[in-house]
Amino acid sequence: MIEAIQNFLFRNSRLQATLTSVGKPFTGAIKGVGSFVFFTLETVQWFFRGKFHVRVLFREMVKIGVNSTFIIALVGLFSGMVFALQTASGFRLINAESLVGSTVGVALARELAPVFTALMIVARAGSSIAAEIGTMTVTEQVDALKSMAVHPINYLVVPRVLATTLMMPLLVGIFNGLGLFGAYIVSIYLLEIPEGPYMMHYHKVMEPQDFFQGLIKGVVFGVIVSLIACYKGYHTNNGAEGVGRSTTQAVVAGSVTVLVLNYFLTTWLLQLFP
Amino acid sequence: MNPSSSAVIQMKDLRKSFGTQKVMDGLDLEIPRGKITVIIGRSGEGKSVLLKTMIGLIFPDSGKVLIEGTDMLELSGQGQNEMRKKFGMLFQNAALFDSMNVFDNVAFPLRQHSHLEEDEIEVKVLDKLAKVGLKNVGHKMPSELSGGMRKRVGLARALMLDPEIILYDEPTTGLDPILTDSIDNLILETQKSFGLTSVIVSHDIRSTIKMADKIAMLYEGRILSEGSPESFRESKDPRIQNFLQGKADKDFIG
Repeated sequence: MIEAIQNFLFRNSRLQATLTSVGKPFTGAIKGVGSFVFFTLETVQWFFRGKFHVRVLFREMVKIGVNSTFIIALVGLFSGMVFALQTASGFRLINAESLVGSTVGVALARELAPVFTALMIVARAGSSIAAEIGTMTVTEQVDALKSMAVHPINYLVVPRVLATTLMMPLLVGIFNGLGLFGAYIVSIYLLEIPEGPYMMHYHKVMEPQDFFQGLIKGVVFGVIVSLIACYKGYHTNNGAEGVGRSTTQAVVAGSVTVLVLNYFLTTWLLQLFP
Repeated sequence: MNPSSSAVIQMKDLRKSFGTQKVMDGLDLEIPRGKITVIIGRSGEGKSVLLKTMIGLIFPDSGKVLIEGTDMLELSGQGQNEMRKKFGMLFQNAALFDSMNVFDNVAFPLRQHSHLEEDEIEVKVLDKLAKVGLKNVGHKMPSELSGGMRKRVGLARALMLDPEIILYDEPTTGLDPILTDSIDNLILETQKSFGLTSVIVSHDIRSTIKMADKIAMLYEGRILSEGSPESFRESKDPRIQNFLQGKADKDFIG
């Protein structure tokens, strides 16, 4: 009898342990999302109530935006060029090469420009934001800010999120412009598609709202990507190893979020601009 | 008269755990006004945690932290921020902002909290730097400075807003004996000329005896003993004597 009870308890504790280990990642994920939401709310609160650090904002706009211009332009140019090459080889089969311009144009404006720009910004600015704030956290510089009655969310996070959000649509625009230019050069001069029909189809198909969709996406991605990078940096511990981990997590979480969020944003935008 | 009215900081029944590790376990301590209080204790005993609790960088699981009678833990985020203006803190590795040069580091608190013109800020910064014995270093970056110089810059920055209370987290750890002495003198001079309340976390016995008006020894999450340096020297408690003489316990070896 006693043995049976003991056995049951033993099995139960095994069961409990199993359930705990199965549940742990889920509770961990929920906790993570919860703390990210609180971090976001705190950032919003400091944005409206805190001191406005104009100097930091401009410095970050230069670091995040201006210094990314060349790389964004380069990636935009080649994306447009390769997209023109591929679409042309497809459209050639049905003798519709003159549609290359409009196809590339729509794809660039609505999807390629905002998504690629966001991914480039994650890699370039997101990683550096996470590493910088992370290093400041582990070397007590964040504590030092607090000890001088300067709240780190107000001083470090708000300007970076604002800078990324302001610069993203501009960078999306640059990507878009260079992408269109690249597609034009490849189509007209390399593939010798007649310019007249190419441009005519382009003007007929493209609408201002195509660009507008891309810009909205750019703004949303800017907010989310910079918040993730700041959050990861702010919650760094364990010295140099921790900074490495935060940086990696900022880039991985940022890129995945951009790609997943893009689907839902597109669904919404397609309803908004039918 | 209330005996605690001379205390600037009162900590009551503080408890704090990190995971399963208890760092503070019913800790009570009062910091007297205008005096130098040194908190001693073994490494990993939670001395820095205690110091950071005073200024609200770390929050205890339970207990009270009263700063001049106001409970830090009951204030809003903004209120705590205001309260921190009473404090200056020198961090263990100085925690200078490595993206700014020395001048901007020291000017930082003024630029954040005062409406002074740049030329007035310059006068004040150079004056504070001179007080800690530094000249012509304003343009240097923190990475170009030695450990002792960083601590001096950190001290100048901590003093910039003329705080009432200054917290030192191991000000002399990792410095050679001569530099240690010069930092000690600097702390004593600062104390004399500004008349502020100082709290020092240290495990440097020589400096402690030299500077302290009051010593408090942290042991297993509580204050084991507090009093004047003399009372510590004359204490019969083997745990205090072992610490003062730098002897390892038997169980520590085993």
